[in-house]
Amino acid sequence: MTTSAAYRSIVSSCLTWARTNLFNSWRNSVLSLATIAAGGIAGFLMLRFVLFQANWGLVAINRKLFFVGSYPAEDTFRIWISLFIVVILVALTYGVWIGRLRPYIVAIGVVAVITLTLGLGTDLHIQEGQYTQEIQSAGQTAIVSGVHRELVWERGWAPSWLYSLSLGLAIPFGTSWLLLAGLFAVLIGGAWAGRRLSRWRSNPILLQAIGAAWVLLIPMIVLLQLGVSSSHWESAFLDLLVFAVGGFFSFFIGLGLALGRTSPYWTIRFSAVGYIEVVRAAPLLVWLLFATFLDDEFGPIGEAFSNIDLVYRVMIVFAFFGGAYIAEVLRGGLQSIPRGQHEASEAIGLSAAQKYIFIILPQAIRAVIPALTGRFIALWKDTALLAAISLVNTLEKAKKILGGQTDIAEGAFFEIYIVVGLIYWLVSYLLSRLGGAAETRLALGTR
Amino acid sequence: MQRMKDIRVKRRSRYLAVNLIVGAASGIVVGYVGYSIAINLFDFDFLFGPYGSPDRSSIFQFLDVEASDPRWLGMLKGAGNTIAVVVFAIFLSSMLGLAVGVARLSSNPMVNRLGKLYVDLFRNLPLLLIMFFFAFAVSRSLPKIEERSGWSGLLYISNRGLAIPWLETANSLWWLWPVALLGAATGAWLVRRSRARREAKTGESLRPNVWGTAVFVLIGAVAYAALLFPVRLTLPDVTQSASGFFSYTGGNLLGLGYLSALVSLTLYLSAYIAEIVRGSLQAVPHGQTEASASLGLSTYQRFSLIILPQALRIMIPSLNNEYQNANKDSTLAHAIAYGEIVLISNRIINNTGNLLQTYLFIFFVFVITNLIISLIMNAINRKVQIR
Amino acid sequence: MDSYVRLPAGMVVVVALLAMAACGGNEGEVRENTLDEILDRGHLVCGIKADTPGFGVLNPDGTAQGNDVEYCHAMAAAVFGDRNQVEFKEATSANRFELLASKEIDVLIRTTTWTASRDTDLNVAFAPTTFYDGTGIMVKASAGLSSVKELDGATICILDGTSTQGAVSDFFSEQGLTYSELTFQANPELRGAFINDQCDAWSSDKSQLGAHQFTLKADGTDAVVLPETLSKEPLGPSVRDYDSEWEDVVRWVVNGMIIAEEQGVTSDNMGQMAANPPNNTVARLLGVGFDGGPPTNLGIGHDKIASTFMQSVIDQVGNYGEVYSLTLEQVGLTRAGSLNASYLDGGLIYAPPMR
Repeated sequence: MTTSAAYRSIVSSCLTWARTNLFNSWRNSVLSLATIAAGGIAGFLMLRFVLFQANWGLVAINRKLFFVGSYPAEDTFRIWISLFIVVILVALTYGVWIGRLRPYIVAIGVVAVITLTLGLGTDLHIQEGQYTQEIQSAGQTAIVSGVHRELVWERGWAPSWLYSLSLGLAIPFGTSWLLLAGLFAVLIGGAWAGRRLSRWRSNPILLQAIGAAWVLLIPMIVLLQLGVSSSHWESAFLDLLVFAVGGFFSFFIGLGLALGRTSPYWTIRFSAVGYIEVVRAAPLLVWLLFATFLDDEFGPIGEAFSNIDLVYRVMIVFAFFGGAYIAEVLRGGLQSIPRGQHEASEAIGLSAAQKYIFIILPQAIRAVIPALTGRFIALWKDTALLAAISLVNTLEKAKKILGGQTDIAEGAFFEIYIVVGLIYWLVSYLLSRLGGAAETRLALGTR
Repeated sequence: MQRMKDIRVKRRSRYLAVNLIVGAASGIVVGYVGYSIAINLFDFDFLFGPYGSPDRSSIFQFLDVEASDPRWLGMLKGAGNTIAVVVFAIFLSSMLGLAVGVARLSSNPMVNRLGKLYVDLFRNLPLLLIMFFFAFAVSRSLPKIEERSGWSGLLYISNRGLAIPWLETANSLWWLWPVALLGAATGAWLVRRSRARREAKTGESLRPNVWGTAVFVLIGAVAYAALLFPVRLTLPDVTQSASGFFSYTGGNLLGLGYLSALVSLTLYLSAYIAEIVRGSLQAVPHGQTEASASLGLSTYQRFSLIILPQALRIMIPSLNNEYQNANKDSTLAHAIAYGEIVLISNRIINNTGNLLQTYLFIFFVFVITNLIISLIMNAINRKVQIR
Repeated sequence: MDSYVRLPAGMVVVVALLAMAACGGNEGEVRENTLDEILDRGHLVCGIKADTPGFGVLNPDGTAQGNDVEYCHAMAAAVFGDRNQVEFKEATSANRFELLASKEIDVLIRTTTWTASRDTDLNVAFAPTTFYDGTGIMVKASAGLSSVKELDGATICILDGTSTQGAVSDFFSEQGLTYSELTFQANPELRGAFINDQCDAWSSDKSQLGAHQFTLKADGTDAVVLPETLSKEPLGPSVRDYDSEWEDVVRWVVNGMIIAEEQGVTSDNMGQMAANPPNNTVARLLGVGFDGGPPTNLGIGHDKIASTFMQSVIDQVGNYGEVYSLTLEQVGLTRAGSLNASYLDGGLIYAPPMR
């Protein structure tokens, strides 16, 4: 009786909402109906593809390749340690800095972590799979690459996602499930601990400690990878690594250039402007191709550069290219600081370095957080370009899977590209949400 | 007093020293790079060799690279192909971005959310991935050519591309017609301006727009007839050759490379433009809307006459930036085999090994095209600013 | 105000520029020594094709197989005595020479046609031909064609940046036929387009068409390679110019494998042949003495590699015929009666003597 009344009131409030928001004028009604129809059709088609038509098994059996490529199985611990470091840092920073746990950010974080670690637990399976396969046909035998024939089934077989899900769960993960659970515990626990810490201790000291931890630990992650030959850095892992190293250094290069642009010495200003304009004039692709194919055209220095391992060269290009754009963003921030701030800090006797570190830069960076987030997202998306210079990133790996497993992957373009898109999308969306959260948290100027 | 002077001397000498050191350092860097470029640049012979193999992915026949073309012509055609995709992408994405940006501000939650979904989707995906998706996944699910899908006689879509109506030249004097049209436009502009001025002065209705259009149409039509119908429309058709191969005849076939590049660039860029449009529209004070409503203007008039012109002033610098980015991003189309500048240049480097000269050419092409975008946008900016 | 600073600083810039221009001008032709670099590095970097069954397939996990790949293994076996000291890098048709010239790879073994313009214009030197090929055209069996001349008006799928493009263009204009071209950067996309009727024909080297024809059949698409051969395409390894030590190693590994086949030295009987060579030719090939005499040392690679390098090559990889039957025969490329039979059987496979 009461439940049906409550039900009726919910229905009627929904109807009221729809009437006031969606159908309050004939024009709005037409718009709403058209949008609902278009969304419905698109949603139906997509759901039908995802649930009944797609061959997700192809993704399931290749998931190690999608995420870590040919990373040696015995070295996976390096990735796990790196992941733990990053998750702890992110969680602590989030807890201290932003405080309140926003459910949707947590949800995206969890999905991202699951997506990015799914490939790690499957070593056993991939290792035992034979890549050299024989195809019997017309009395002859052909060697075809990279096919796990025991996992092949007909496309269109009723919900294949169910099958692949069960396949994913059934594959022995060993300790990986525990590690994954640990990762979540650290993610949530770190954010919670950070929040408690921020109440217990004054914020600036904590923030400085966390900043120092970032600066110290991110290079650690990279050092951790040196035990594995760079030719095994592939797929999403390669993208993340290039992004982490490139992004890290590009911030400092950008900072230096931005300060250079506002320097009182005209030669420094001039050089900084010249550098920024030259780098920004050409597309990243051209710089990457140039770094790849450069030999001794620039004499001994160019030759020394061309002898560096390609992955490091690409990281250098990302750092210097990203730096030029970040410099422009930070310059905007520096210019937005009123002259009075400079004068006031000089008046209380701060040195130039103290003035910038404690007074100017915190305000300048805070003012440009949205633009800065945008630059980092762009840098992340730019890692897709590695595919154009024969480095095997996620996108290139996807092409290789499509080309190397023709007997099961033929025509499965949608599945593969949707998964690759999901990987890129999740990370950039997470970055944009984190940037948004930081922006709200730091909107002190409007207070 | 003496102390003050000391400080000033100290400062001045430090200023001098820093400038000298930094100046010398950057001089050495620039000199080193310049010298290396110079010793490599003296070799230009490779530019005159034949390009070697045909590349016919352009939408304009005169931009198709032929095997016998000298390499310098191939590079220029490559630059032309870049422009051919960028110009249309900028135009289409501006229209789409405006629509999505306005939708983002709609009071209708459905429309609003659809706009947000669109922006969140395309802004967070790499352009190269979108291009691959269209070039390799979407194109393959298109119908086959013999199915003749599309509007019969006007448009055909298949997994070979999109066949559209196109203009075809009928005689060797056809180029005089565009010249005549240019003259017609100038004449129309002059007539319109003089009538508009007189209208403003005397206050009588002289219909400057109608007159301007009439002058343009009249001169254009007369020239068209006088040149014996130099340009005509051709419609695409699906034909089958004697050995049974289907192909498009008439019209123009926009190849998959061009089509995928155009569609991807448009979708990607429009998501960015939508955000710029939204931000700029929100930046127009709400009082403007209320004031124009109280004047009795309709919703459409309010938007097109009051809000949009003010928002344009705010959005043009950001648009300028995005257009330049789109110009540079178009280089990614080489990965889907569209014959733009990087593809052509890479082929030349692969065949000759002249890395530096070729990349310097690409560099200057982008400097120049971005400068042109900048100049146009600044001209528009001057036009819309309050004087 | 600060013009008194600008002038001297500007002068410094000008002087620096002039100094750079003056003192940098003593660059001659730098001789490469890739062999030293390979030995220092501890492994060989080999540029291969990633997507052609029979010739080169680079698996998603970094392993590879195919005829070209076996030659990479042979080079590694010659230099290090271990066929696995090699790293494979994908070279596409559009970037292969750039990869080689910029030292991203040590040797390019990727069905690369030896042409005069490549030899002269590019920083490339060609080692002996390992496979004699020619451009062909493949169509779906359902089209019911029997000659290239019936292809008037067809759309042809071709890989971008290959000599195939030029061959097709020449042939069709000589025959007065028209065609349209659809280019791709890699074989998987091209293959998909062919299956999907995005083009009517697929043009490439005949051997590769044969290999693709075979896997297409396995996946349910019947295709036929038309009989005409549009051009000559001798395929073989290539290295950089002015790099003679390394070039010698590459050249003589290939020649040695051919000689081994002529002399009947196989991976099965290699140990026995080395212990007791039947004639002087085999003894010199394997770097051992004949009939108790002193071992011969031809000095290939200036003694930086073992004089018995061919023993490792034949033991771990095999002779020319063994490699051929292990890889190319598997994708249906019959050797007997083709250009790639030994000269003893009427083919073109012939090596200069090793002495």
